[in-house]
Amino acid sequence: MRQLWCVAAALACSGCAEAEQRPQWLVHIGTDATVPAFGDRVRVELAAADGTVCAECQRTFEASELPLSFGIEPGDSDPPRVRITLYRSAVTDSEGEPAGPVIELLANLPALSGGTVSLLAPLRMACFGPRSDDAFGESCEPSTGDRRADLVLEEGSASELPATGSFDGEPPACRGAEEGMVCVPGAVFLMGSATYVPLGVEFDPAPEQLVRLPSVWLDTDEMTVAGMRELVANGVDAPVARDDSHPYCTYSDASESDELPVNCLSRRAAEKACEKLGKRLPTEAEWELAASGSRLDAPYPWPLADTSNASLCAQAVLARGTNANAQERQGSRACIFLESDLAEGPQPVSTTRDEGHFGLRNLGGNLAEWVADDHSPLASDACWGEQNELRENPVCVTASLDGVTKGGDYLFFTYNSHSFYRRPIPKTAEVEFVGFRCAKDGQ
Amino acid sequence: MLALLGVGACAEPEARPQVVVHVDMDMLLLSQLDETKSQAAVFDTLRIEVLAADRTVLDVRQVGIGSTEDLPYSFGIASELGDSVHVRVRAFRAALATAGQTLTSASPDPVAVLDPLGPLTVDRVLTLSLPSAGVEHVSVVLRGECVGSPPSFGDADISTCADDPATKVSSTSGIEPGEKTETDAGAWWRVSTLPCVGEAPAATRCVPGGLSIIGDPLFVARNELEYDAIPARMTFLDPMFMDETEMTLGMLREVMDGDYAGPLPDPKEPDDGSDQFCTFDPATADDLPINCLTEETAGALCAARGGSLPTEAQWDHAARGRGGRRVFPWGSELPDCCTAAFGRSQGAGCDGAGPVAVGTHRGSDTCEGDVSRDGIADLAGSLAELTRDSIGSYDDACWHTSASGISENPRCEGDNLSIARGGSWAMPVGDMPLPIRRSFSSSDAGYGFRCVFEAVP
Repeated sequence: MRQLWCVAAALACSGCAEAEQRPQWLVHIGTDATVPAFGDRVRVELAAADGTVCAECQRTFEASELPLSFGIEPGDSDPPRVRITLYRSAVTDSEGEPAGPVIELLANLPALSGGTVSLLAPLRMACFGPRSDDAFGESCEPSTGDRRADLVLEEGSASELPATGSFDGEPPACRGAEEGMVCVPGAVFLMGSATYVPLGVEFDPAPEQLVRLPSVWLDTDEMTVAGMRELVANGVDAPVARDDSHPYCTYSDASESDELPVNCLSRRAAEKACEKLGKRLPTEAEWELAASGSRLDAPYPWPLADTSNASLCAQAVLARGTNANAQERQGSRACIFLESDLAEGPQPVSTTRDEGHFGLRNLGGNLAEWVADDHSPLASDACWGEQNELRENPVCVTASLDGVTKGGDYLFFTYNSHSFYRRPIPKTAEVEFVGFRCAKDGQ
Repeated sequence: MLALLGVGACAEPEARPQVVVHVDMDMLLLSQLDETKSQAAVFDTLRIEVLAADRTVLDVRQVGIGSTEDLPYSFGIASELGDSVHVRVRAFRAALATAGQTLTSASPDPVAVLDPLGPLTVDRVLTLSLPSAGVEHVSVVLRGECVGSPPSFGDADISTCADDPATKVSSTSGIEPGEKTETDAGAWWRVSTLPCVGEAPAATRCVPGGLSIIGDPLFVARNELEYDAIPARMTFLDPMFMDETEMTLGMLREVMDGDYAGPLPDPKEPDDGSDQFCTFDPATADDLPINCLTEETAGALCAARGGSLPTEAQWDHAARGRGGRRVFPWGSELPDCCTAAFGRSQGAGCDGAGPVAVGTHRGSDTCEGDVSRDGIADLAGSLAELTRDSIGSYDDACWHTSASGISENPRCEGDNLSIARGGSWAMPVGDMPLPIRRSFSSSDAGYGFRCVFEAVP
């Protein structure tokens, strides 16, 4: 039985008097990780010398309670081993075991010499990574992140523990102001997803990548036809224009196209357009941080409780056409089928409910967007690879013929709207469902 | 004996006027899970919201529960909050929830919480009077039987499932006075798996019945909304014997040696490109699976063997680890070409072309195999498999077999196209995940079937 929570502070749960003076270990747990992004739950397990964990020797705490302290009463046998795991409860397998990277300590307790021994269990980001295969074997050493077999919890007082979120520090603000752009504050975040349905290594957002990004400016909207016309007048190559054989290409002289997002252009053409403006394409990591909001691990760029098909169709420009030019029919008119008053194809950038974190629009739908990275599976070590290595502001450059596009589009349903999905598209392709937005360094 | 003492070991709290709520449940805890229990019966998270009489959220708390030490979970509500409050308690499995946030009047910042899926959640509202003096204790047990039966928030009253989903009660009732110290976790009658009864027909395996989850909240729609979007829900299934492999030429020849006079598969036609991979041919080896047939043929052949085609719910239960939410029969790792019979068509990623003998992908030290939790082969690859259900939405009435949120042995037969499940030798890896549903329109070399047989008294 537990008694931990007090609504309106009716019970004196915290800051209570010293624990009873029976001989015991008093273990203080804290973390420098941001919660709940890197873990919302802490599991404490005690093992006897033979490695067995009894049912009563397991407790679960919420990471929001950190730092927290608990007592361990000695038994008849040797001092027990303790395993403390900070993990994401939503990323667990059917047996309840963490299915993604965790922060974990496996340690022995020092001998007890009467009275209370106060011990420190810091769960540091340096230890963020895969679980130890052997449940009670090697541990991560919190100060270095190295693996070692004989960790013993050090004595200390709770005030020596790191503050929750201190690994991240304060996100630096962007410098100055940029018209038509919003600042996405820098952060340490997990790119990719541990809970997704595999579609093949080319597409998969796995394994997750630990990434640190500085702040970045991103265009509020996808580049419009009007914006592109101005660039073309200044020497940028024109995209493929709308005509009978390219009905969903948006580029045209007609004023009713002004607000449509521009598509049907190669990645290089998108890069050149951004360069002309003194900007650049966002990296895949920047785009994903912006779409996911970094700390929420939410499935879509927008907050949405109702995930019914009709609601998703109303939320973003999705499943509103089929690709007439592809040899194989692609795409779907399913949203038009559900809501017959929806218009076909890409839609004006401002008339949308597809507004996500930071006020960015049309990340989830309308057009998928080029990012600066060349495509490489996250499972390949060409650019990505092992998930526990912190990557600073990564951008993937390879010999691949494919670039990466992010985000959903008018052609397909929500599958690509998830901020973590990624799609390889030949860099030279001028396709109707891909447009772009530009970025600029925040500092 | 070792003992975890909990957070500090405090003196008695100051007795301000308050009500102390003791929350318990009768569903399964992770620490109680073993081979005789259903994974779908495990609940590991409580989300508790305290609402003012006008239903604004005063405070929210999410609690992980993993072992009997964690229940009942107790908390106090100070009387200074008013004459009465509503307490909404939801129990669910964190892995089936999505990250969300909620605003409360206790804090200017939104609180990160998990948003559970209604059909997989036990959701209970308690309306409590707060005492003007002293400390009162009340207890409530969340009942698994109420899963998928959410409360109704009327203008005046709130009705909630206390123990019988057919009869929701006022949120003021079903609350026991007094403390609760022992947990009822695991006492729900549906937590145990149901073993097969009777003798297994030849070349079948037992798939124990019990509570399961069909559909997958993590699997998102791609193109065809109706067929791909799979809202998850609880099912409760009888045990069954299921063919260990898809039905083969050898099994067909055995049926034809009897007095079978029903329809047969389309024959292999070597000169016609589209039918070159049909297997029904005197020259075909016994261990190739039969394909190129209609749902009527498949159903008739199962009936001739004393069985039937599986329902979609049965197929899902058997393939996905009986509520274990497996993306593939072996787990969640993407298959290599050695794992399952797939990708055997142009550009689909593996060498070779056409169907292969059943049971040839059973795994090795270096490669996973296409074998389910119960030892059933080729559910992911080889042939996509016909079920007896018809395509339609998971919102269709056939999924709602009672007032309960639990669908018992659901069957969705009808005039629409049949549902097929699982991948085939022809498909690329992206089409292989088990949650994908497909409609079956006509005889095809990529589609076959297996049969199921009753295993109840």
